[in-house]
Amino acid sequence: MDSSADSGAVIEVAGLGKVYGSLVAVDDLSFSVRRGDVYGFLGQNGAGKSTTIRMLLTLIRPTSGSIRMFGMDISRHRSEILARVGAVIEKPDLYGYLTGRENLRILARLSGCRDRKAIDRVLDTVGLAARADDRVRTYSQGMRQRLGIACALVHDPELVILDEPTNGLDPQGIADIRNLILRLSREGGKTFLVSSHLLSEMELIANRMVIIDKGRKVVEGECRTLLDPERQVVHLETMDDVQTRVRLARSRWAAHIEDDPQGRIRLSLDRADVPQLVRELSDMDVQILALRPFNRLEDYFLSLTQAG
Amino acid sequence: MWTIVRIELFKIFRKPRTYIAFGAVAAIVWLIQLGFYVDGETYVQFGMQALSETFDVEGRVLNGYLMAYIILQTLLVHVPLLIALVSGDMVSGEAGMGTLRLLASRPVSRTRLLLGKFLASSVYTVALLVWMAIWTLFFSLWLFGADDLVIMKSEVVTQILRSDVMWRYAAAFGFATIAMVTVSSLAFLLSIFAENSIGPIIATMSIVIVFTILNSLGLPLFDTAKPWLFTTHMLGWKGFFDVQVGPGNEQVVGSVENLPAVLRSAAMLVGHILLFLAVSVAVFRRKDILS
Ligand SMILES: Nc1ncnc2c1ncn2[C@@H]1O[C@H](COP(=O)(O)OP(=O)(O)OP(=O)(O)O)[C@@H](O)[C@H]1O
Ligand SMILES: [Mg+2]
Repeated sequence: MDSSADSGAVIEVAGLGKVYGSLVAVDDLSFSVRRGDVYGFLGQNGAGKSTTIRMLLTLIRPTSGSIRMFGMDISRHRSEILARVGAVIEKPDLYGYLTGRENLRILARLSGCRDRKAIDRVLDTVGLAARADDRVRTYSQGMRQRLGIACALVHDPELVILDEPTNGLDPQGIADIRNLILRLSREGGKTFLVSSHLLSEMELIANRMVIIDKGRKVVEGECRTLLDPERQVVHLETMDDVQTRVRLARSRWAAHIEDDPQGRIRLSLDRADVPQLVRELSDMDVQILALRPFNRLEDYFLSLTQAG
Repeated sequence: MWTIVRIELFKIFRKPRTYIAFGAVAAIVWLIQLGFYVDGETYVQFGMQALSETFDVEGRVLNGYLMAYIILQTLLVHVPLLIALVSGDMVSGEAGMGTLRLLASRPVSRTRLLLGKFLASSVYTVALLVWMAIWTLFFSLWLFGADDLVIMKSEVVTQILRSDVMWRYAAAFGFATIAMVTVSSLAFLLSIFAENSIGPIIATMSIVIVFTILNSLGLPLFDTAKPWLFTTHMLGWKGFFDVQVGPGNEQVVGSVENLPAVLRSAAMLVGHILLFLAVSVAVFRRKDILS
C-alpha cells in the first residue's frame, strides 16, 4: 500500500527502533507520511509516540533503522531538513521569564526566519495577539499550547509535527486547534503529523494514520478504509500458508492482501465479499483451518474510543 | 553563530539570577569600602606600626590601590560561586524548563549551539569582572585617592610606585578573567549532565573548594598534584604585584619578578578551558535529549 519509492513522501521511516537499557520503546517501526497528509499517529500512553517524534527531530539517536524526510537522510542533512519542520514535543515548554513575542522571536531566528511580520501573523493565526507581550509564566495552559503551536509555525515550515496538541485543552480549545490544523492543511498546503491517544479525535482531522502499540505498528492506512464499517479484515489460517499465499497472489484477491506484522495472511475486503472469498478459497483447494475477523481499531481502542 | 550568542545573551540578561551576581559583587565591595572609609586609617596604622620603625613610608598608605588589592584578595575567592550560578544553568536550566528540546530540534548544529552558549556565558563572566573592576578599582580610587601601593607578602614589604600600578591591575583583571572563564567552563560542562542548575553549581563549588584545600594543606602527597590543579593557577594574578629587584636592591619599574610562571599559569588555565569545552561538545553531540 505504501510504496517507499513514493516521491511524495515527506517522512519515510523504515525499521526504526529505540532501546532504553532493557526496555524496547520503539520496535521495527515503518511508516510514511505523504505531502499534504494530516497524518494521525495513534497509540496509548507509553506506546512510543513521543520517542518516535524525538527521533524524527534528532533529539535522540535511533538504535536501529532509518529516517528520511523530504527525500533526504536525516543524519546527513539534518539542518536542511529541520529548517522545513516545525514541532511541539510533549508539553509546550517555553521561556516563562520571556514574553510570548520574545519566545517567538528567538525560535524564528533559530530557524533562520528574519521576517518580523511573521511573528504578528502567527500570533493572529493562533489568536494570541492580545497577550503577546505578557510573560509566558502568566499564561494559562491553553495559551501555552497555542504559543507552542505558534512557535512551530513561525518559520512557515512545510511539515508540522504536533505531539498531543490538545492535551489539557477545553472542548473549545480542542475544536480551535482542530480547525487550525485543517485550515493550514487545506489553505497552507502544510503536511501534519499529529500524535494522539484518542481515535475519536483523529478521525475528525486525519486522512491517514498509523496505530502503534508497545513500539510496534498495529496498522497503517487511509482513515476512510480503516474506519469504514463495511470493511472487514480477516486473518486466514490454512494447512499450508505458503501455498495459500501463492494461490491468493494469483487470484483476484491479490489486491486485498495486507501486511501483517506477525506474518499471518491478512485480507481486507468488503464485508459482503466474505462468503465469496470462502467459496473461491475452497475452489482453489485451500484447506481453511480458521478465518478470524480482525477488528483492528475497535479491538485496540475498545476502551479508548468512548473517551474524549 | 553570532545569532546564537545574541539569543543566549538576551536570555541571560533577562534572567533575574544574573543580577544576583552583579548585586552581590557591588554589595560586598561597598561594604568593604565603607568599613575602611570609616575605620581604615587606624586599621592600617596598626598594621604599619612595626614597619614605620624600620621603613620610611610616605603618603597615604590607605589609598584606592591598596583598597583594590584588599578587595580583590577577599572577593576573587567567592566569585566562582557567582560564575557557576549562571554557567551551571546554561544547559541544565534549559533541560529543566523543557526548552532544550526546542533548541536542539532547530536547524542549528549541536556544536554551534553549545559553542554559542559557551561564548555567551563567557561574555557574562567578562561583564561581571568588568563590573568588579569598576567598583573595586575605579570607585576605590575615586573614594580613597591614588598613591603608591604598599603590600606585605609573607614578611616582605613591597612598595610599588603609583605610576607603576595601573597596568598591573589591568593585567591582574585580565588574568582573573581567564581564571573565572575556567570556572565557568567547568560549571558549563557539568551543566550538560543535569536537569536543574543546583547540581552543577554545587559540584563546581565542591571541586573548587576541595582543590583549594588540597592546595593549602601542603602535604607532600598533594604537592605533586599541585601543578595540575587549576585552582593553583587561579591565584596567578598576584604575580603581577611581585616586582623584580635590581642589582642595587632597587625595584625595577614595569617589571614582574617571575613572568614565565605567571604565563605558564595562564596557559594551564587556557588548557583547562579548552579541555572542558572539548569534553562538553563531545558529550553534548552524543547525548539523547530526553528532558
Ligand atoms: N528516558 C527514558 N528512559 C527509559 N525509558 C523511557 C524513557 N522515555 C520513555 N521511555 C519509555 O519508552 C516507552 C515509550 O514512551 P513514549 O514517551 O514514547 O510514549 P508515548 O506514546 O509518547 O506516551 P504518552 O501518550 O504517555 O505520551 C515507555 O514505555 C516509556 O516508559
Ligand atoms: Mg508522549
